[in-house]
Amino acid sequence: MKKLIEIINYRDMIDGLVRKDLRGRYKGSILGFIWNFINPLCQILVYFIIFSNVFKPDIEKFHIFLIAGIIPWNFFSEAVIQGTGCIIANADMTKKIYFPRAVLPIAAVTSRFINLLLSLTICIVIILLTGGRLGTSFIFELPIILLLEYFMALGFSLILSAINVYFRDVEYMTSVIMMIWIWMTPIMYSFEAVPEQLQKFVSLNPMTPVIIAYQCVLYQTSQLYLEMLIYPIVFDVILVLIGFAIFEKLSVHFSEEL
Amino acid sequence: MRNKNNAIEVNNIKKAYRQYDDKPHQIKDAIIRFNFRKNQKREIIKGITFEVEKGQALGLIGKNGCGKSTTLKMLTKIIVPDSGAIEINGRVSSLIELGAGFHPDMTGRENIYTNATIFGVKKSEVKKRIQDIIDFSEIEEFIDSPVRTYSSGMYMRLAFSIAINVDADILLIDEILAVGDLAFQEKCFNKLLQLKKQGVTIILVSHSLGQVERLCDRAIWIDNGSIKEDGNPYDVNAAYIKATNPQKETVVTSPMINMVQNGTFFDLENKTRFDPGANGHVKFISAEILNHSDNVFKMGENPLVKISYRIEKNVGTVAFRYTVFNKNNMKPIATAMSQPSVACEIGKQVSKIYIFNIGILSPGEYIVRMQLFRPDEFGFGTKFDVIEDGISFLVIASKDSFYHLGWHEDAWGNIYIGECPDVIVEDVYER
Repeated sequence: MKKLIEIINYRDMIDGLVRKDLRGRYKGSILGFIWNFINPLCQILVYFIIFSNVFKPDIEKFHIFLIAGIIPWNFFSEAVIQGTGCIIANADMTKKIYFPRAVLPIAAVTSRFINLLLSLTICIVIILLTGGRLGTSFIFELPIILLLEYFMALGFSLILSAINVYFRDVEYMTSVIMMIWIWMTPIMYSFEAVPEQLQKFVSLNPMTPVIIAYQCVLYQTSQLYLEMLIYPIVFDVILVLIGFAIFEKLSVHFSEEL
Repeated sequence: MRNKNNAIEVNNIKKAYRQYDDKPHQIKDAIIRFNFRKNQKREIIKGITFEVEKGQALGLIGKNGCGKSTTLKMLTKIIVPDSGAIEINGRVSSLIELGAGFHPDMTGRENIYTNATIFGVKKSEVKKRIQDIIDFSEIEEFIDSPVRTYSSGMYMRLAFSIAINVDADILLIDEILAVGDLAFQEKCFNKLLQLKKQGVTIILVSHSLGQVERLCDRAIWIDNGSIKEDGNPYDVNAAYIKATNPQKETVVTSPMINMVQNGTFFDLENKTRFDPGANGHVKFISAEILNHSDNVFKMGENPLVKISYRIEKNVGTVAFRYTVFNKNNMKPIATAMSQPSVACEIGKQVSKIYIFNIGILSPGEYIVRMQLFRPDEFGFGTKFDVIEDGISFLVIASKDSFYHLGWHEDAWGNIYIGECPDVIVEDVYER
């Protein structure tokens, strides 16, 4: 609890780090901030062309379906990967100055989260322009899903970033796992298309209900039911609690290990 | 807190570092290590206890690796002690690493905000102080350029300004007062003195005993992980100097004497010459200390030195000049020059006896650079011969000089101007 208050007292530092990350990332390049959007848009374009011409999925308006899954997934994957490496990346600061260490993963995840918000805004415009529609309830539903995903990314980042200080393998392992994980989540395919014996396995994946929820809201596959979110909410709470506990335990010796 | 007037209480802290040949950054290494190798621990801090009163300025001195920086890091909470307790009363700012967290592509102003928030300062507070910070750093005109365009001096000045303008009750400083040029260093130091006056508690880790003596009311000498001496800076520094530099002790048995066995005669003819600007028209042959059996002088002695040189070409006149260097840091201390004398007869060997007025030099080891030159009109001179290490000598003082304090070269320099006489005795009582 004391730690939490301390972190809140350092919110200006989080703010500063997020700004630094967002603004510093593409500084010096001509397109600058636009690069944040070029990447996912190209990704969607490539997937769209290949899927709709080669694999021919029987999903209507497949591009909207893709957007609803890939944009949130990109956030999750980038946030966890960047979060995992954030202590090492700021080793300099960590070794020399005292501040609550949890500020670093929080800032890393938050920075990606703000990026997600911006890309989502653009995506919603694209969805509306290309024949998609959004129910009015998305204004309430979307924030809940966003927060769910935010804390999931934060929980994983806390655990992985702390372990990464002791074993640098974690950073590389995370990238590999993310690559596999994306195909275990119904992003390029719909959950219904999964063979029944595998559905149980896919729904164990905590990201599955989150992505399905996004699809409900942005693609309007079906109504969003609260029951769908119980699993990820419980998962989030446990993950974040364990995450903070592990992080606090390991962060004591960060400056000696770095 | 046992005492309300204390800013810091440190109670028997201990710290051991794990010693790796190479850190296990891979899981494979860790498994191997757990199985086959015991953790080798090296004790860095072996139980340190001290208290610092509010408003006190404390200097931590000691050899490299003695644990003083580790102690400071534990005070900042960067490192946690294995056992023992540290209690701190008040807000801490540390000037340990400057510029950590600067983003090279962001402007100075933007970096002030980010950097100050890392120290735990609220943004609104930074807004209030930003002008102070900019003024102090003296880089007003560049403040809106990216810091990657800064010179290293500007970079450090900005970083220092941020760190020192953070309102703090306790200031922890690790060896960083060597920022920027001399004027800026002096400004920083004055700022510290001013903060001290305002009641800020200061802990300074420094190798410069002079700084410790100027700033601190108290010094702690840490040796090998425990406190060796604790008291007023003069006493502690004196004890430290005595222990670390035995040759500076005011006793006659110095290794320096063995260095020049015969003591008084220096062959200069065969020494290596380094100065390409010397044309060699007049050349040193030898230097000899006359009224002495060796080159160890008591303080206050002004020896006679016989300088011999040979005239190789008709140069008109020649003058002799010597500069005394501190042997430890090779800094020049003092210079003397002779009157020019005629040098027209080629092949003639000239010997002159000079009085070396080095009696004002403090105890220590010195080297003398010697030079033969001709002072020309309009301030130009012609160098004939330069010898970097012409003669070397040692100045010693009797054991009880300087009120038994010994001589503190770092703080006091190399010249003892002499006893300070009072002329008018007048006692004034202010009401």
